[in-house]
Amino acid sequence: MPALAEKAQVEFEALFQQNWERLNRLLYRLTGDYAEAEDLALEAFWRLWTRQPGSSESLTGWLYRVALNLGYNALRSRSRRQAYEWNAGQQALQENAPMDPASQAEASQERLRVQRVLSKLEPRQAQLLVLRSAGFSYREIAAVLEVSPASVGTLLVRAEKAFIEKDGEGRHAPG
Amino acid sequence: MHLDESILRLYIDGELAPGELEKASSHLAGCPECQASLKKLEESMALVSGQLGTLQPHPAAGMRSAESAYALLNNRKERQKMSPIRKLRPLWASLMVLLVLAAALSFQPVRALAHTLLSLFRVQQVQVVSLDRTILKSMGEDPTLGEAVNQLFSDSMTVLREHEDPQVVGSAEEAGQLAGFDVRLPQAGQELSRISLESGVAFKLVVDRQKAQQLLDSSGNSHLVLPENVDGAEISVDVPKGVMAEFGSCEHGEPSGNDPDDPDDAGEVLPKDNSCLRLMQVPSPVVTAPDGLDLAGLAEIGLKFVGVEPAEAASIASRIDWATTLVIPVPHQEVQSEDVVVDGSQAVLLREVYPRSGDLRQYMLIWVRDGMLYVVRGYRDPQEGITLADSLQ
Repeated sequence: MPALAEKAQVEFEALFQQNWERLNRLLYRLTGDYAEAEDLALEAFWRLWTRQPGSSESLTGWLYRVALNLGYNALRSRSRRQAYEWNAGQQALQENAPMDPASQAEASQERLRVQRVLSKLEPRQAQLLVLRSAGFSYREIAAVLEVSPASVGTLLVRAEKAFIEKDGEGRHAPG
Repeated sequence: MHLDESILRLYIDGELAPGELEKASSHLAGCPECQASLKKLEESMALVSGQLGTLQPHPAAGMRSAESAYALLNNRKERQKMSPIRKLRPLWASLMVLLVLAAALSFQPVRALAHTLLSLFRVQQVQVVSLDRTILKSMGEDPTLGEAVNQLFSDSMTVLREHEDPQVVGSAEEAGQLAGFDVRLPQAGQELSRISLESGVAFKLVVDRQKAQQLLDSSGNSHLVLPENVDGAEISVDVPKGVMAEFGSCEHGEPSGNDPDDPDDAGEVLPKDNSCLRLMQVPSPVVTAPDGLDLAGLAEIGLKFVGVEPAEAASIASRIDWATTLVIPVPHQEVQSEDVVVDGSQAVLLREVYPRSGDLRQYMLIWVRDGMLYVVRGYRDPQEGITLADSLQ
């Protein structure tokens, strides 16, 4: 393997080791399913590997951005399915969203409701809230979402308002 | 001059620069309104934080280690290297190559199975086979199985004509000239907004019975036995050039969700409005295979492989004329199907059970007439698609 390619491989592996767990856990917050979180995390790393974005861009920022998009889309489809079944009078949450035993044990109504509210927000707002909840700093959030660190505060305030509003709507009408 | 919410938020989160921090603190000390705003902000932060806190993973959850995950990633790299044809997805129901993989199908779960190819004999009719999604999904998730199928194919496949990106053209006449047939257009409904030439593809593969049987054996299907005469059989597939016509306002993005150049592309491109209707027309693809190949027998094996009950598999396999039928496998939990008649022909109408954004449920109308295969894809009322099909000239 040529020296340059080998260097890229070593760097990639280091990035992988440093970020795997955090990314996996972040995706769990969005999907609520350990297996799905893992699949999406692997997919995000895979895309980083095949895409190799230019060095001027923050590789980690790019990685988390891709992962959050994958996670948010998964959140939306899962929530749509669950909402659909709810409206159709079926409470078969388990049936069409197969979860491994560990997830099933934990699937609280509360968590599902929170995910549903998140799925109704704009993607970036939902992603922002989840990042913050997972303990990402303003700087990290700025790098991932590609905004200035100074604007993170304002964005958070707006996102939280939107969350509270959607949450209120959800409580009055089922689904 | 009061402190606005952003400043307050930065203050609470400790993100104010030292100079700003001093100013804010001293203002707050003497401003009851701002103190009240601060408290309110803290309360809503706590509320949201509490809610979102329910999302966190269980501390004792057995999540995969980085080492193990990295190994999986390396496996994928290996598989990718082995497959000479990157654009083609795993030909899943590879043993179902005699069955179905419809071109314009893009329903999520079927796409995992399906392909941009149509592989079947000269099609004269269309039929749906209903499959259980949970079985398909678990197959799709089994990496060793996927790898084995990929390998089976990549070892034995030769591309005769590459699949190319669609080529947008200026008119139906131009499309027809390039494609080699008269393009039919609807007389009713929306204006033609775009028309492009689809290149088709041609490939052949040579069946390695031993490897294929090994695949069945290792996937827990050793009771399914491939006939001897399938060994060395050369099967070739030719999907001719087709024409894709669009009506209304259609999105164009990378629909497969696999554009590695775009970090924001994580899946389906959802239409902004739902007026898009797409009509694909292509001369029936042709599959050539040796005489004496027991199609019904192979199809039966294929059906059982993807989880159809033996009795039903036998019944379906014997009822269908495999040489002339385009069989479309649909996971019935996710896709509903109905037989309809359009354009004077028997057709199938497929529809997503679960809506995508808002109320949009994608549907597809598929039929064959006079040696041409047609697919209409839309998002609103299927009646629109039916009207379009009925008005083709």
